[in-house]
Amino acid sequence: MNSRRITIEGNRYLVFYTFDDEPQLGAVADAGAQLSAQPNDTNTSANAQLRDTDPLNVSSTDEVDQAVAHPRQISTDEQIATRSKPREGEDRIV
Amino acid sequence: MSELRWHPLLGEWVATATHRQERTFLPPPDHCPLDPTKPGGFPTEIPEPTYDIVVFENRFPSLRPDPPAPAVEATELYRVEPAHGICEVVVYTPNHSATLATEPVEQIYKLVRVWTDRFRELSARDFVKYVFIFENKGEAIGVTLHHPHGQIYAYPFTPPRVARELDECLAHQERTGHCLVCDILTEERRDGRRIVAENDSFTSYIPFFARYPYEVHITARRHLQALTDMTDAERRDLATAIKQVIAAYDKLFNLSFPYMMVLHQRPSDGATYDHYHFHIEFYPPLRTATKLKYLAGSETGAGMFINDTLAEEKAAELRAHVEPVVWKFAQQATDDAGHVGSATRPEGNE
Repeated sequence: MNSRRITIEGNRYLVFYTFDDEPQLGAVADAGAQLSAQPNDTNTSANAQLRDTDPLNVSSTDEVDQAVAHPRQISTDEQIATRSKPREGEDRIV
Repeated sequence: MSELRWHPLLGEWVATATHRQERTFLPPPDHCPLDPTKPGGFPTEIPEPTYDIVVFENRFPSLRPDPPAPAVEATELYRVEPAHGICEVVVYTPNHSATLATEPVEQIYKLVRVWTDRFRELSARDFVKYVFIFENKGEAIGVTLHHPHGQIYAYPFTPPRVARELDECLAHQERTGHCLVCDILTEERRDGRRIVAENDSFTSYIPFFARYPYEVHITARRHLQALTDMTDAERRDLATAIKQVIAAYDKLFNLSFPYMMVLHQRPSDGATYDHYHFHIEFYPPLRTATKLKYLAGSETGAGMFINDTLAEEKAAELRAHVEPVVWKFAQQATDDAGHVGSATRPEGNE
């Protein structure tokens, strides 16, 4: 399981990424292989259909530390929660 | 103190960041602030060792999410704005003595996914209009910390260099109906002499119009605008392409080759940029093993680059050092999934 863990130190954030890499070579890889046979394809609707949701698959493992792992950490997600635009891919066909 | 000052002659912003004068400068290896903090050791930027890649806000940023008010008052001619934005540091590995070129391709694949995540995350901030991912490598570039790392600047505007590319791409699209970068790629592949390496998803070449002797562009073969448009197979192919180029760089003069690596993606301002095309550009400062390409009077004062070399010859030199990239997990992935994606087989120069 890939994961992304966020900690806050003072007024700055750190994002720790860990990967358990045996990459999944499923349907997305197949689609990429098909498209790669068509270089310079300007069909953007095909692009839109291929935009994936999350390269890390972190949505279920995204964590914000609760100030226990390190004494300098502060439990807050205030900086991370400041986004107001949707993350890319949230409103797209996948 | 940091602020944005308007350059009325060029029509672009200049950031002042006086606090950056105090940043750590070439510390000894045992006091690297980008190493994980060791038990009982001095506190570094990274308080724990368990990670593949870590990203954090730059301690000496030129842009901040909560910038101070400008120190000077604006006039009608001299506009001043708070230095609003985000500056992140991306530490590629806990290994202090590595470089991206010496890391396995699997680590570069992890980095590509982290870049994608950061692009997605930073693009969602309402004050961010452009996410710029880059690496400065080597003292010749002005690097102050040797630990392998890159940076990300989230600007409150589209920076002028990219804006100029966008303008040219839009004009070309309106004039011809084609993507300019697609046309460049087609021309480079038709000619072939400047191609350095290629796989199913990316072509690496020293362009016809290169400004630096070993300026390589890695261009997506499919028309796409950002990392977030890529399939997973394309991200693996991108890792392969990067690995081939930077490993060849190191072999060229048998030294750790300095470069600037920049990712050119669409802006994050909510507009449509279907006329643009994702690519990576490398600007290495070396023109020989011992001689630097300086940005001197013509380049800096007039904006006209003078390249002392021919792209066709430099591409041939670099191409001779390109080696196949073998993915360690290729066989297991084949066994697990029952088939192999486009990037799982060993890649070679065609």
